[in-house]
Amino acid sequence: MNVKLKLALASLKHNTARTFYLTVLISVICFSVFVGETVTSGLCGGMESLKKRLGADIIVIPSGKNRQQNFEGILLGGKPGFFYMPNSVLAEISRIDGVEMVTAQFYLASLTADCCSTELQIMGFDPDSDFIVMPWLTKSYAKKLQPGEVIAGSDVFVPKTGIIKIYNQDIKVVGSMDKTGTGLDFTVFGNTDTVKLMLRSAQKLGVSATDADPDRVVSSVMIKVRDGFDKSDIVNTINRTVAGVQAFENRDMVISFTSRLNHMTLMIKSLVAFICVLAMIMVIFVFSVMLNERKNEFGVLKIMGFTVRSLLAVVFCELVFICAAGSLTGVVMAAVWSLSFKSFLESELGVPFLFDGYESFLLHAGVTAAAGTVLSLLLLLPFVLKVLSVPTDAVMRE
Amino acid sequence: MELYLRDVCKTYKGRNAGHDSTASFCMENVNFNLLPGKVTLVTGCSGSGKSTLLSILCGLLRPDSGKVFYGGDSIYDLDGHGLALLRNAKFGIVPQKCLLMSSLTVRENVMLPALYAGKNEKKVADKCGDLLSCLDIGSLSGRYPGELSGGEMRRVCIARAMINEPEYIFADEPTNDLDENGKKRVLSLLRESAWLGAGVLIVSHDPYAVSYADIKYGMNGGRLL
Ligand SMILES: Nc1ncnc2c1ncn2[C@@H]1O[C@H](COP(=O)(O)OP(=O)(O)O)[C@@H](O)[C@H]1O
Ligand SMILES: [Mg+2]
Repeated sequence: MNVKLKLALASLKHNTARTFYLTVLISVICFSVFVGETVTSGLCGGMESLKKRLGADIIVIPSGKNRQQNFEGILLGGKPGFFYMPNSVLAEISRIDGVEMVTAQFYLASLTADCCSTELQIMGFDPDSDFIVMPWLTKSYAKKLQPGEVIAGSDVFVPKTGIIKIYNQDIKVVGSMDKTGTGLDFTVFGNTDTVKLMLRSAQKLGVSATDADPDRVVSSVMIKVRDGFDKSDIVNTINRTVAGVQAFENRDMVISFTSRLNHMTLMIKSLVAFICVLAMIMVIFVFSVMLNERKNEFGVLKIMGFTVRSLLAVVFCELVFICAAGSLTGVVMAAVWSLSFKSFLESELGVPFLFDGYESFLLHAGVTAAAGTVLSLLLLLPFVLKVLSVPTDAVMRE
Repeated sequence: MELYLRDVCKTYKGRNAGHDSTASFCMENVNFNLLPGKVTLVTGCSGSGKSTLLSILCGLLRPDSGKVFYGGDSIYDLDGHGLALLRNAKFGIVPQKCLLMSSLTVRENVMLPALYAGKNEKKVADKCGDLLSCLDIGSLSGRYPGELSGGEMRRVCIARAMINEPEYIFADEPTNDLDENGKKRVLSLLRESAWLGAGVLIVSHDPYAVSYADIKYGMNGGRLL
């Protein structure tokens, strides 16, 4: 074996504690960076997918602050909800100038009770006028949905039989959707008629929170604005002229989500940065202590005729080993952590979270490990150069 | 090849250099030849400049002026790389402070300069065994420096300086930390190498070394006497 490599390995082996501390510190850096990356990219992915799914320009729901929170809960996940307004608003809205398309949606939440398989969000759409749900629903199920049939979000538990029970109605799940990372993953989609049937059944069972006549209410109205018309004008008109409703631009809602998201990612990033800086300071501290202790050893090697280049090679070998081992452990541990907390992040965070595909996850892991190795090398090499420039004569004296 | 100093001056300034800045140590116009096949001894009290002379001679300390010639070439005009290779191949240096690689065993420490030079490992190991037993530390070859006494470490340093069969050996206080028997073994070994052709420089304040020397110098305040 090469003498320099042998020296490097001997030094790593002989100074187990030092090797261990440095490796652990570097792995802490890589761990936090990679976990931070996974979480923030999952948040951004969820946001993007939510934007894509909200194909309306303007959304109208019943007035009241709680209603807006309910609506966000439905979209962002975790909190099934429902609310209703008279279906007459649909006609009122479609009369407004500049409204190109309107469609109503009908929401219902199932319960964790005997009558229902599980707690779910149920979203009904009108197949005749819908332009929001069907464009991407048809990817999962090309045929027309029949009464009593639904398509399930990716995280809805569907038994082998394909039948779920909602308010004592047997509902057939005919397809399931791709993951979106949003509340839509915990939602089943059916025709409005199917959902009304469920609501009636709930009312009959006496477990419904509303006694509204299903045929006379809707939950929300989605609007597509004709080209050339100002969306905020239409929002204002609706808010002024239609009683008991609130309208807002889809974009405004996305912006409000985005700012909340930015808040979270900023927090995560600062936490990661804090941990990294702390760990780096400790790395540098441990490393310079170690280099100082080894000034003498470098002196010995110079005395016996090692060139500076050879000395560098020795330290470089050690550093590459420590940095690579640290980065790799950190990233592997982060990957294990991310994967084991994946479902927790996706479901419990309360905001859209879409995990990257495994391919990009692995790529990310590889890049992080490599970058960790290279950057920690760059961080430490200046100290090596400084110590190697100490005159040999100085270390020879007693 | 010949090794000699011509008109070498060296001044130390700064806080280590005596009581005040004017009293800094200096070595002026020193001329000195280290002869092959001879043991040259430089004695003098502590602080007289012996180690400085040795460092300059073996290529570890650049003089302020004057030159050090090896085989007609001024060694401080070589680049760092060339000088390092010269030290590795031709010089064996025993520093005043016993410095060993703490992560290597005694045997590995001694063999290191030869392996670095690319020599055959088997032959180097044999030579190392000879040197260690000659210095009466053969039984310690598997130990780490942390497990050695001062005298044992010094002998390891001496063995290491001789592993490459150097043309010149520079020994700074080689008898420090040694008992009578140790001194005898070390000095005889250096004496023998000189008989075999090496130029040996011993720098010491120990009167015991005198009887082993062919040529003797005294040193005082940076001057060779
Ligand atoms: N790097 C240095 N900086 C300043 N003064 C030094 C340095 N090295 C040695 N000296 C001074 O130079 C003088 C000679 O030192 P040295 O050659 O080691 O003497 P010796 O080996 O004879 O004891 C001493 O007074 C010492 O303090
Ligand atoms: Mg000295």
